[in-house]
Amino acid sequence: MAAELKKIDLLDDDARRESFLSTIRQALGHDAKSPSPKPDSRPIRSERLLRQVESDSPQLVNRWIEKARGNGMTVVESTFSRAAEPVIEFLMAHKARTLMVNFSSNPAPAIEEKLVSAGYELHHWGDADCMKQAFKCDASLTDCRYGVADSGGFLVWSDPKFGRSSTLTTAVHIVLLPKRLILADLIDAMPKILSDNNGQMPSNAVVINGPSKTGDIEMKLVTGVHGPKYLCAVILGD
Amino acid sequence: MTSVLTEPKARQTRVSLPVFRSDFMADAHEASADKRLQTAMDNSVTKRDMGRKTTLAELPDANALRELAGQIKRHTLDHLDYYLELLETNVKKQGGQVHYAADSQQANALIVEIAKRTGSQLVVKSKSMVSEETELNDALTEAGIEPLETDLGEFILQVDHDHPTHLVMPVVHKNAADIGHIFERYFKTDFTDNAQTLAEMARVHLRNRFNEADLGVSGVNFAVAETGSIVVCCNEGNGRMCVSRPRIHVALMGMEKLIPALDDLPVFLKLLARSASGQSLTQYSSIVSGARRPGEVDGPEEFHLIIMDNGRSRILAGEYRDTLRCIRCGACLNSCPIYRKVGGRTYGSVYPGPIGALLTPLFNGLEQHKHLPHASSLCGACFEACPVKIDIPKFLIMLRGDQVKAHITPWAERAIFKLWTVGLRYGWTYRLSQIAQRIGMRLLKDKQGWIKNLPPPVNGWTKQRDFPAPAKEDFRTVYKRYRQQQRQAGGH
Repeated sequence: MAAELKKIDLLDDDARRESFLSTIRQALGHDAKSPSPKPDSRPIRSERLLRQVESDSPQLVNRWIEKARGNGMTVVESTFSRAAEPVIEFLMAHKARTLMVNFSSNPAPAIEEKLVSAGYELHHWGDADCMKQAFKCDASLTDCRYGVADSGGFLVWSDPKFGRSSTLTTAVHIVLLPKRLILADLIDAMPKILSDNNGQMPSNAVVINGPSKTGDIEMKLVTGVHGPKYLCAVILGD
Repeated sequence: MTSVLTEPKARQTRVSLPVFRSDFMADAHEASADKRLQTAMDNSVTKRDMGRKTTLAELPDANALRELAGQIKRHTLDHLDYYLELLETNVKKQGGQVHYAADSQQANALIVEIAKRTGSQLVVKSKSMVSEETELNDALTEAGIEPLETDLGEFILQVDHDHPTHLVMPVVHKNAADIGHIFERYFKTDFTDNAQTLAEMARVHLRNRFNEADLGVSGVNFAVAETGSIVVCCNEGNGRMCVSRPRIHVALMGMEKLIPALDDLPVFLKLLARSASGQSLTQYSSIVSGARRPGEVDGPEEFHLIIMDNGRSRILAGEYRDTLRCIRCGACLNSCPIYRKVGGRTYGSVYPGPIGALLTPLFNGLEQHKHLPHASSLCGACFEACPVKIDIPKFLIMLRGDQVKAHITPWAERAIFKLWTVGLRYGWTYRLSQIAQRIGMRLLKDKQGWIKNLPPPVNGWTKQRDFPAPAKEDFRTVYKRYRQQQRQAGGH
């Protein structure tokens, strides 16, 4: 059982802060009261050690597909004009009838029209009840910012148009990924988070590498623990 | 530099980590005889170790990358004061709040206070070893706030009132049938040992609770000083839920989790999942930078980062600084023949395995954990596995030396080593000790020439093994006679 806690005053943060930092400075042999100097240099990360896929590799897309399938994703290749077909096929396979739709920068009205014509019930991120619908819908359909070929994942981040929940809460998630957005390596993707956001970090950026899974029970692979159980990537080319 | 030994007594005796069990030898014997535990370890831990080796081979030069990762961590530790202030500045720039906690009591009190001020009744938690250090769940419960673990393994342990025995696979010591019975009791439902069904039961139950929760507590895999971001890696998605659904997000981190910049992150992301579970990345690698921005529909309204010391500054000040490089991947556990045999519970505290054998005595003092520095054959498998190249065997040997200097070792052991030193010091003392040893040992042998029962205090050796009695003549005597014969025969 925890010992009785002394009441702590959150407003006393400054005193606690000074005491904490002073302890660290002393531990490092620095002056306890002075602000800490910036280091002259830091270890340089070598691209040679990190890069697994060359950015001009002709096999970029194939590499992404191979890794994504290995991660447990279903991957289908299609064209922009026929993208609705694999989407509907996947929804049918998993008996999904209601969808949360969320596109950050690559809206797909043509796909939405076809889904509505096929009888699917669409909800949009940003609607008044979208938070509730994100939990109720059978599936979600989103785009993403980039694919990352070395790991077979894709990168999303939140902003006023793109939610966190739309890639997290439904049992089925379908993501549209144009080939031109597939980057070679994680070291190419990281700088994009800042450069695409005017040098500011978004509140939440995620590299998603496959459906939710665990091996906690006797190392038996189980999918869909909290996040999506079924994840399909539709790779779009012309 | 100070060491564990030269610490003022008061600080030496301050316990930082909770101690769950304290009889290492008895627990080790019990665990070694537990066939179910052995099967569970063989199934899980060895597979992870093999997975690590396979996926590391995908990297251009895994060994050099580990070296770089170790250098980045060392650099950060050497300038921890600077990077802490930089992290704080950048978290605040994004509207987050930073709190410093000297020890686990302060960390818990801060979280309880934040919960009370925000009217939070239910706290959902993603996997966090640091919160195990502080025993946060107990503190919340005592304050009338409900804590709820959401990682499947941690949830199972919570409902079973048990503790994790692995850094990454918390419930490795239980099989599916064990878990089935736990859920049968908890959910009052029919027994099943089907893993998918059990996971589905937890999903449905926890899903509703995510929506009710007011506050989410997460751990921190890495904190990026340059951007004021924390990184949460998980496979299940509960980590993402905890940092996204509740209106308040509290991230609790040990102060050593810092890395300098965003471009350092791929170094660690590429090593962490490979080392922990043989994956190229975890299913979700979330980079969280504060609360939701204006106009965003979901995400927390408030973000609090609690940076905790809890004894780390003592380690930072001394010769064991590099042990703080640890990124809690569990690779050393998976590679350790001792851990595989005795399981995590035997280590008695929050951190099991080789890293636990180091950290627990460093945090709590050698006196209380005498056996842990010896829970190693010094095979070096942990060092080979460690993604940040902590030389665990070297530090364990140093701790053993510290024990000797502090007279924490048994008197009989000290006496024997003293005699041994005398015997090895000169040629004549060595020969004399060899004669005495040979005579003594041959008196103890049985008719087949085996020694099966040594007397106390060295009888521990023969409890589980026999060994052959020394030969009638030692090598020096035989060789001397051989040389004489050679000379007599006209040889050299």
